[in-house]
Amino acid sequence: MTIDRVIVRNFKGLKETNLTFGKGVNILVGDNETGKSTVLEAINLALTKQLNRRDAGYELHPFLFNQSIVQEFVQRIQSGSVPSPLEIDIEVYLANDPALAEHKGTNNSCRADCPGVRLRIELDENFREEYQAYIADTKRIRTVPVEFYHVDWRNFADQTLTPRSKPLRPALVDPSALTNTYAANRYVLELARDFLTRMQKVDLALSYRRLREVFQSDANVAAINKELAKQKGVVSDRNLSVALDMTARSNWDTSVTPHLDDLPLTLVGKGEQTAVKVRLALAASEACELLLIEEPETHQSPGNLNRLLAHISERVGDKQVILTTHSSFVLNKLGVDATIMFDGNTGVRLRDLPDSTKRYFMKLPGHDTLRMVLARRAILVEGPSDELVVQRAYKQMHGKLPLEHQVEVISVNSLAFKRFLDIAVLLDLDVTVVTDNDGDPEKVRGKYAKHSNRKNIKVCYSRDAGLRTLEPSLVAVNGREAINSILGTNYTDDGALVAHMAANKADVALKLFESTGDLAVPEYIQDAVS
Amino acid sequence: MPSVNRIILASAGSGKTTTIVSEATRERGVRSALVTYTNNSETELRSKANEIVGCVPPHLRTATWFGFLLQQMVRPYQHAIYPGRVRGLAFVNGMSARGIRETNTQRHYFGQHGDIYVDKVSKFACKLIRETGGKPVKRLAQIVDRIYVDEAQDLAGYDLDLIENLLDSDIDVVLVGDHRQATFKTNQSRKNSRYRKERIIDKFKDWQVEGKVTIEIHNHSYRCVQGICDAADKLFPNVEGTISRNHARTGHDGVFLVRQRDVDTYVDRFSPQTLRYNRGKKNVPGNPFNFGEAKGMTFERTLIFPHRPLETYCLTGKLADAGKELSKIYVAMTRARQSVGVVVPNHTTGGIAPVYPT
Repeated sequence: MTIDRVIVRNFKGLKETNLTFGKGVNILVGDNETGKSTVLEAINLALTKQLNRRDAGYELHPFLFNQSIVQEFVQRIQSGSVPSPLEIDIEVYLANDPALAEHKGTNNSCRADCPGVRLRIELDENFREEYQAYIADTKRIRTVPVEFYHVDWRNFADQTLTPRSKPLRPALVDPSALTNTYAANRYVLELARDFLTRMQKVDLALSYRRLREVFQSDANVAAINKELAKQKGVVSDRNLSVALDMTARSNWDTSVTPHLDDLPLTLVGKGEQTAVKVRLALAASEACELLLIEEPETHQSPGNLNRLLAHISERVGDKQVILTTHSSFVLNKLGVDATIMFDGNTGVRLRDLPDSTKRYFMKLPGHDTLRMVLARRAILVEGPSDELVVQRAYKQMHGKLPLEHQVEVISVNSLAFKRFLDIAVLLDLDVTVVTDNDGDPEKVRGKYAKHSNRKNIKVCYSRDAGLRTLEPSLVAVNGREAINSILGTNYTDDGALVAHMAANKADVALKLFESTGDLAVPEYIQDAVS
Repeated sequence: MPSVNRIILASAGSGKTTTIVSEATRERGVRSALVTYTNNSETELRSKANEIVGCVPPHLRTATWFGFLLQQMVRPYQHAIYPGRVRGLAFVNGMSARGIRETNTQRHYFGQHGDIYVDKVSKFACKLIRETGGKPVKRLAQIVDRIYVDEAQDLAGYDLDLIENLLDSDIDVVLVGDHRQATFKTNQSRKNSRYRKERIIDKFKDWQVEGKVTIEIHNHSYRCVQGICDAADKLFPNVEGTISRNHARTGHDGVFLVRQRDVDTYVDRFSPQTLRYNRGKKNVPGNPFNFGEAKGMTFERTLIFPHRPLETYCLTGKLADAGKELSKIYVAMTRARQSVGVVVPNHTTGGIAPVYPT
């Protein structure tokens, strides 16, 4: 059972989002505030009708709606037009599977014939009159009148769903949401409840009930009740007694709590709680088919994170995992090919990279892929000394360091440029490559010829075959004197100066970077930072 | 090879509900749907299952005919011919939206509030199946392996076309009914009017000839004593005779003609359930049921207050005198386990049965 596609309209930060997913692990990466977590929340809402771990019907509030859509709506009403009522619409399309045929049909916005679920938060027909009165008062209207809204939850066969009849059971692991005790307790209780089989739950409920009966037959309790019975007529005409509450259906789940080494799980570290929940969800085949994990790196030490990720990739099996992350470590560990770059509306998948490129990134844990992917613009350079010079050139031109403009200068092995450009092509990333010409500018031109007509990719190198690397280029534009003065050297020959620079790359780069006076920048670097 | 689709023609009192429920509950590997016409008979099926295995087992689902049509046949692919949502049923007497062409989907099929006319549901479903290349049926075939349709004699109009779609699918279809009890029409459409009421048997036979179904006859009755079976069988002389499996004897068993003047003493002595053709018949003692209403019910003894054709038939024994409502008469005659009285004029001296007191 796999989610193929998710469409979200007008939910929190998501105005109109259309994302496709694949089997196994899917990793959502994207800038802050693009709504990655909201995508997980939306999927969980559509599949369980739950918000904040409670029935969505009791959790409706105006801020569930996209605020810019709401503003537009309010303005239109105030300017005298009558827009149709706003609604939140979340559709989850599932892969065709005979076991899900009951949920199959074309009742979805794509008119696709597949199983699926659609959840709408919409105006309740019974409140049309009240709603009309509300929007007629154009001065007072500020937001969506959720009091008149209800949650409509159906499958693609247009049958109303119930918690029992839902097609897919997700487990939402969102350690960052563990902000209050209530949420934390619910989170822990779900461990037990979600991952036990139905029979196990019944057994627990029965044992718990039996325990309460034992309490009742306890001699002390009986004595107290006998004493209380004498009060008949004083407090009430009826018999007064104490008993454990037997009314709740099976309220073992409010008193029974999972323990780790005899420690209640609520008192165990949050990182450990997350790890336990993920492991349980992966292990319990009956309990859930889909794992939604928000930023697994939260509350985890690097060692634990490494173990948890290894566990996920080994055990994922037939289950589908959708997770969000900010960590390039997570990204590389779980597979670059599973990455979905999310910009708030749609996602581009790294799955479509050439195999050799995929393997390259899989081998490098904690690599800089994510830095490039997340930056507004990336400048790839050949080594740390080039990086410092480019940083310096950038600051000289723009008055600020590149990072302050969300521009990443990333130092990579020159052989890896091609790999990075594969990703840049796929994701349409803005990337500039700064490279040496190694004495043969024509060869460099040939090497990058296929990227020459792409707007998002720029390759900068010296056209002068005599200037093989950065060092001679710097000497060429600044002159020997100026460089000597920055470096505190007094070479009388260009060749010797360049040789010194090449032999002390890091040291030289740092001095150039920290130099206070004007530094002339070779034209191709100028071009790269402009 | 005989078709796996079956039509079970069951005599009144043969225990067909028990037959299908026990078959369906027994075969655990076959996901089955039991479909009936009314909520009451759905409840009856469920309680029969409770009786047999304690609860409705998970491989079994029950539904009413219209619930089944809406949920499984109409809604999953409704958008193929209708942009909105088919909300519920609009009940109408007789034919809905007369004179409105089918091309006007909205007004031809739908009443106010997007409710679909009750007589158009199966027509809509048939159209959907046609337009989508059979998608609703393929979907259903992934959900259930077998469908039992109870009271199949009441199928009419487009219902028959819909059933035909199912007969041609991977789903096993079991139709259960008795054409002699076709007192009710589920579909008012002019479609398939050749097969109205008891003539449904001709459709069943056509299907058998075409190799779509195998007809089984359950011609026994656990309910009625042989005398009652024999009298009822005379209404449909072309159908195989019914064999009684009720061997209980009370001293007053079979069919009797009761003269009007003896009604009070007869009622005092035997306390029969009274039955009448319809409400037009006045001065009927007790709390009488109309013939049609009594379908599916069982009583120890009945006393029938006939309409004119039945009265004439009881006196002459000529089928031609019995009028058009043979099904209703058949239903009325087969409600009692032990005895059926038919009220006749005071001057009666004989007829299809002995006159009481004999």
